[in-house]
Amino acid sequence: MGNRVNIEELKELLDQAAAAPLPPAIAQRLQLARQSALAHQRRPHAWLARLQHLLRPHDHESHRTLHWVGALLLLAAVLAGGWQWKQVALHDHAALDLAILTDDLPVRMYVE
Amino acid sequence: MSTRAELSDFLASIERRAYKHALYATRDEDAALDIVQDAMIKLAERYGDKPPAELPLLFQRILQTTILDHFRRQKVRNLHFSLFSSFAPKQEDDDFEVLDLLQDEGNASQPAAPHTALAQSELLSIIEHALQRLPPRQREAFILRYWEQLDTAQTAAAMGCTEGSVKTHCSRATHTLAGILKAKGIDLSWETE
Repeated sequence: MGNRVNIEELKELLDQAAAAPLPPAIAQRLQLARQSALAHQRRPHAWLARLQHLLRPHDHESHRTLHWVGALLLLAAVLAGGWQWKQVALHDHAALDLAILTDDLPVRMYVE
Repeated sequence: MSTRAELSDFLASIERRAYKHALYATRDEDAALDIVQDAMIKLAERYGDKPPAELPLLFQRILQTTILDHFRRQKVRNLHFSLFSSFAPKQEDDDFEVLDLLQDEGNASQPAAPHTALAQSELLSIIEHALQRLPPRQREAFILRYWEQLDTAQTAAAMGCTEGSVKTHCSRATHTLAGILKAKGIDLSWETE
């Protein structure tokens, strides 16, 4: 035949073969396979899907909702941090009061 | 995460290539269709929530595994055959004649001139037949690397082997393919990495 092919030509030939119309029976089975696969598609948990939906830029309303959620989360984080700091301070004061009442202060406390 | 439409588009875009891929490996239309369906379902079940960009490589890996599973089941069914004889039946290869390919009706390449179309059809059929005669791992490496255009690392990931093995398989596949095509009067020129 005297043909000569290189890798690009071979790839193009295989691409053409894959792009060529398939017999109707095979095309139909592939379509059924696709539909069957779609019926089995894994879905994330509802709350995760909702979060992803919110994180996607859809429209003005979604952005407003997202901003409110972000602001609430920030506020909650600040309040939680303040409460935690207050608890630690209270605990420290209580420990000190107890040490004073029981006359159990370490020597370094007198030095300070 | 992929939506249903994104997954559907992806599957529609790869179904023909996947079918051809499986057909080169199995030479059996029904088996190839079963493999494609299994691979699609596995992708949707296990990775249907992954982003669309991750789907192609995941699907290739699943397709390879499913083809391998097919051969394993075939081997179990045909215990009296060796692994390689079950992959590559000799009789069919020996009967191969170039003239038979002129009657290939499943070829719809679209060049303008009829003689060009015939030549391309004939050439394609010879190449497809040569691909089917490659040992399985060499064929997988060759198809993924040179047809699907995956890089060495991606091919290794899809085949579940090392990059060195991919290079070895590709090199051997190239030489084997060149030998097969040479016998049919086709010179193969390769630009290897």
